[in-house]
Amino acid sequence: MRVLVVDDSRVSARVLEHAIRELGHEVEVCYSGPEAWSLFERERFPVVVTDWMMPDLDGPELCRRIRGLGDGDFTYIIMCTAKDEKSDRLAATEAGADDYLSKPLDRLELASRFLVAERLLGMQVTLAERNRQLVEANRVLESQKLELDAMLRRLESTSLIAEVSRNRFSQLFEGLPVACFTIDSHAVIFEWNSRAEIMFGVRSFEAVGRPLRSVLGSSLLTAQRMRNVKNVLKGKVFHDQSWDDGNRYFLVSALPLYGLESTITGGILTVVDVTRQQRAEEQIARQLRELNVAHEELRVLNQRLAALATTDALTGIPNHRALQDRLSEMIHAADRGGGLGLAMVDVDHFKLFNDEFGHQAGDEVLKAVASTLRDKLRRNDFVARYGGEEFCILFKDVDEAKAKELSERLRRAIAQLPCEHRAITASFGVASFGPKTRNAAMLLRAADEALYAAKEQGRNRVVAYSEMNKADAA
Amino acid sequence: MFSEQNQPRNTTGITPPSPVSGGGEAVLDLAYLYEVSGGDKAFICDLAAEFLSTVPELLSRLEGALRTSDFPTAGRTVHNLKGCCRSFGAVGMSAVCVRLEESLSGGVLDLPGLFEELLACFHEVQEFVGLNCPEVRPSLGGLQEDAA
Repeated sequence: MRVLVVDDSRVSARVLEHAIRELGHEVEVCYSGPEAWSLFERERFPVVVTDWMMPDLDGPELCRRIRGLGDGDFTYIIMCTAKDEKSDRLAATEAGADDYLSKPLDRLELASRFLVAERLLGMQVTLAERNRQLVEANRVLESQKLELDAMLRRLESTSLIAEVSRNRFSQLFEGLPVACFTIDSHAVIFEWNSRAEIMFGVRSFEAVGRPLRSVLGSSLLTAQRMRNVKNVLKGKVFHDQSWDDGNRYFLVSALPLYGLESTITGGILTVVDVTRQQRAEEQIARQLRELNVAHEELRVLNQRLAALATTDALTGIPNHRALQDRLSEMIHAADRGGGLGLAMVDVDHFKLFNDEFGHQAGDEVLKAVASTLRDKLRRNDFVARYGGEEFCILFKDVDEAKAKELSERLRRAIAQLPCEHRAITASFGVASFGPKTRNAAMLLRAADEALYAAKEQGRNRVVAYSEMNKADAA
Repeated sequence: MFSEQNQPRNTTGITPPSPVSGGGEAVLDLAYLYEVSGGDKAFICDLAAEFLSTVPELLSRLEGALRTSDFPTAGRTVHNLKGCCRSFGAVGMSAVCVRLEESLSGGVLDLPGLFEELLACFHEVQEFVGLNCPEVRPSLGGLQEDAA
């Protein structure tokens, strides 16, 4: 240790210096208080051994000044003096001295004091190190405290957010216009909102804590639906499943609820009572079915009406109206390149027949003629009752000659009709589509003129319009 | 002459001093000197030289203070002298210093007598040093001359 010896007596100073060096320490000697203080201010000594009575600056004052520095460095001060009173020891201690030695110097006591000094200074070093460690630990603690405070603030903030979220969820949950309830991982009801209370007639305090199936009943929550619910608890969502208990109908949706670390902690289900809609849909379906039946009936009736409108009621073949439509179509076809022949047929002496045998017999003749004409026609030809005892035949894709040939065959068929009253014959006037007969009116007139000629020529014959013109020319 | 208590083996080669007349105390505590010097005669002689050079000034200051009845100065000087004597082991002188201090604080008036006794003790120390440390020249300075 470096030791500062202060004594205005050179003899005493030498004795101290010698004895302290013998103990193995470095010694600096000052012979006055001011000199010692000046040196001490420049250099801290761990040990100071000072005389008491010195001019200008005595030992106690030097002690007080050293202690007054308060810079953390500890100095062990030994007052070494010829003052013997116990009160002197107290005064020295009060001034800041740590120990006291009387003159003459006892080397053993000095050695003892220095051992104490070394121990105390060692402790002081240890304490300083501990203090440094404590300061460091305190700094760390302060830092950790700041972090903890920040965490606490974050936690408080998080708690607040969580509280707000809980409130919002609660308001939303209770205010939902549909039944809503949550279940835990064992399908036990955890929450049950007011709409669920109304829908199922079960109060929240009665539902919560009970298995879902015991609350909803097995007629609604069937085994299959229960499996669907359990699948929700495995993460499988479902939306708008139709559930019913035989009386009421529901749309049910469910999704899993996740807790911390994304583990499924339960599920949430919403139930909408669609019984009214279901009933309405059923009624609509029923009415639709009835409507379809009525529509079908109407369609048949319309079809029948349409047939009636184009069919001759007596003979069952197309009537004059149907003839007009078909004739128009076939003239268009002929105009595009196909041929068309037209025959006007008149039952010979029909008026006389009626007068002689009655209208009913006349009607039977007309029916028989109509049937014959219809049955003997080619597949694409057409026959209609023109009016009274007249019929009109349309021959598709033929010229006048072919039309005449076909007409002749028909005439013969009519002539062979059996009749209990007398033979039935008919006259045919034939015309075909051509430059002078390029529309319905012209064609009908041409055929009608040919028919007139056939009548004139004695009936029961076929006269072609072109032949009639030749005859006129001849 | 010597204190018989705890008298160490004399390994310093220093001749024991003669008894002081009248006082009965030893001139020097050789056991102390041995102990404080670690048996180093050279150091003792150095210390003796220092002692002999310091004390006359203190004695002179004390004498002046006593002459002018400046008792505070006399008291401080006697205290310093006592410390110096104790540090050198001059037990005879230090004992007289103690009595002087007591007299100064207690109002005993035989201060001159005590001062003379102090001088006599100092002479004995000088004599002793002169015998044992020939390289040290004892000198009383003005006081020696005054005392003579």
